[in-house]
Amino acid sequence: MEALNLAIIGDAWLRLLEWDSMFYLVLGTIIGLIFGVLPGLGGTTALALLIPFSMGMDAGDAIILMAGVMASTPTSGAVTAILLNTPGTAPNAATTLDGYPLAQQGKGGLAIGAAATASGIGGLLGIVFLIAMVPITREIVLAFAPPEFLLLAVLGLVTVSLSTGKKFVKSLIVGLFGLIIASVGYHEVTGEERFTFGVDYLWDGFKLVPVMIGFFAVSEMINLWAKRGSVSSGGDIESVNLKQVFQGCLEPIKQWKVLLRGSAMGTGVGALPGVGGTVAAFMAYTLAISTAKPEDKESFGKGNITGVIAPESANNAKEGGALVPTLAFGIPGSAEMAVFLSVLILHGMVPGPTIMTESLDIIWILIAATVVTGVMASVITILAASSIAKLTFVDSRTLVPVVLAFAMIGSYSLDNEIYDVFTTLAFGVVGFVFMRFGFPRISFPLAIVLGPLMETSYFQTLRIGDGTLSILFDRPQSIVIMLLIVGCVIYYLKGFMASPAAKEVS
Amino acid sequence: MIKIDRKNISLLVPLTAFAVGTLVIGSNYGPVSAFIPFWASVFMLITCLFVIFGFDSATEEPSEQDEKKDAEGSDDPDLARLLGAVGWITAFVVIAYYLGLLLGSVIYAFSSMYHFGGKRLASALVISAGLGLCLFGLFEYVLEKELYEGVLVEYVFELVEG
Repeated sequence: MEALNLAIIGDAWLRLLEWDSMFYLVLGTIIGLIFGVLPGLGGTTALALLIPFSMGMDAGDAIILMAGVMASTPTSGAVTAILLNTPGTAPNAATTLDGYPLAQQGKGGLAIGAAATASGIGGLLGIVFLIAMVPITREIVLAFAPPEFLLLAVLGLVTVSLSTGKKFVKSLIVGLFGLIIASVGYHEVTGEERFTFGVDYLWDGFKLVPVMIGFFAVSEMINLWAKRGSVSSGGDIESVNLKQVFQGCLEPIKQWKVLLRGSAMGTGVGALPGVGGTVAAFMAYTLAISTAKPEDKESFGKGNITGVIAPESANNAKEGGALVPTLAFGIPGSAEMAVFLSVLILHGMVPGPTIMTESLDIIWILIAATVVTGVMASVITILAASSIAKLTFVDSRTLVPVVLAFAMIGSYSLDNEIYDVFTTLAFGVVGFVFMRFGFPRISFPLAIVLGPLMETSYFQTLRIGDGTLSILFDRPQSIVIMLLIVGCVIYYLKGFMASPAAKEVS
Repeated sequence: MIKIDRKNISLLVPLTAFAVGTLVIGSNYGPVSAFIPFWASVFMLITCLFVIFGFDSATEEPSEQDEKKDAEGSDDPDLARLLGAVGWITAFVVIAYYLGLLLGSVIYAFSSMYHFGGKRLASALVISAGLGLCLFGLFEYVLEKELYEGVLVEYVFELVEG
């Protein structure tokens, strides 16, 4: 099988032994660990900030840097979740339930060791799933044509919005807003100018990088500035002793069934667009409780180490699962994957059937880098847990100007265009406003990335269907996807109709 | 009875106006070019009205956590502080536009730390100068990108060069 070509796989691993690749891998891991530990920043912000810097690199190095960030962010978030009851990233929230009580009992080191090992092994298992899917996915993707890609883009937006639960409609509004923003500028096929209002800067539309940096990094900085103070106010971070950490490392091995179940849950949930790591981590936690011995169930929430292993393994395993729809169909399952997808596109790779045939080397580099980063991030976390936790004590008055300077100069440096800085600021404010009103922002980057795919697929579908969309009803693949979209809407409406207020209205 | 969603109205009204505007403009494009502008605007308008008239809040009953938060009093910053934050972030872009990105970053970082962060003069100076050096080294030497010099700085250079 071409997808499992040993020469390509070997080259990918050898690539990691080159000095520059090693440098980018270590750099990505350190950046990921730092951003993972600071609540509100996370992998999406880190990836968005790094896009401009990655543009000067060759595609392989850029992917290595990004893989370093993506694979290490979830690992370090557990440290502050355990020691300070402050999850670094949203999926680490489940870890606080048992991790923080363990730290209060003086077993913080044990919990950190278990979390880091579970994260590392969970990440590896997620990647095994991705490797198993590479040859199969290629065959599946080749059965898809423009009508399916058009519908998949719609399905991606709907499922991502559905994953926000009761905020489904608000998430849709943000997604639709993103689609309109994505349509600004010349139409790729017709050449017609849209929403430019005679402004030359808008002819090519809003650039992906300033928009992403603004929407994620700048909006978080505005929020952080408004909140004032340091990210975290304090906690018992000195209680971590290395002997306890090493003892904790053995816990996931002893509880290998919990580890496997958590990883399987993370991988499966990660592959579903929009569901994301938070759901995966909480589902794994719930599964751990339901499969625990009756006498152990009471101890969950009071400092049970199983309650740390399950969510942490799921949290890291989801990365492998989430990469499958992103690479194979160009349908990112999360905001982080949407930003990663834009990196692929900016480096000339087209997710979908093409990437599985023409950029197989890049996929294997991504896999190899993710595996190495997962191990490296776990080792660094085990050895430097206290120092990592101290990062959260940095004052927002120091952090904000530093991140902001990198964000704005990064936006500018891409095209040496000062208007890109204005765009970054504008979308920063827009992202902040959505955040403050509680509108889920996850659908915006997806819409920005999926907009061009939808337009191209729509045009190609019309061409294939002689000017009509009737072809959508002729192909079984299209019908299945349409049924899924309808199913999602019915699922939401069912919940809506059952609500007391809706009954009152009717 | 239909209830207006007062909590989100100040965001939903501009979004509705945006949807109406893009719908009107988008309707004038050719059929292929209008696909996203038209349909996205139509659905955005419908969904905005859906939320404005309180149908969406029908599914959003406050969770136990929300109720607890309301009872305890939220620690969210007030409007003045939020506007202040937006204003201060905007100030960075204004400073950078006139003084250049590098000089702007240094001045902005220093002001943020010294005037708002309560840092001592020496440490604020050291950190902001360190930031400037990092940015200069990274962009000018490693990435070989010429940084924006700013309207005012360019004007001064022009005057000096005669």
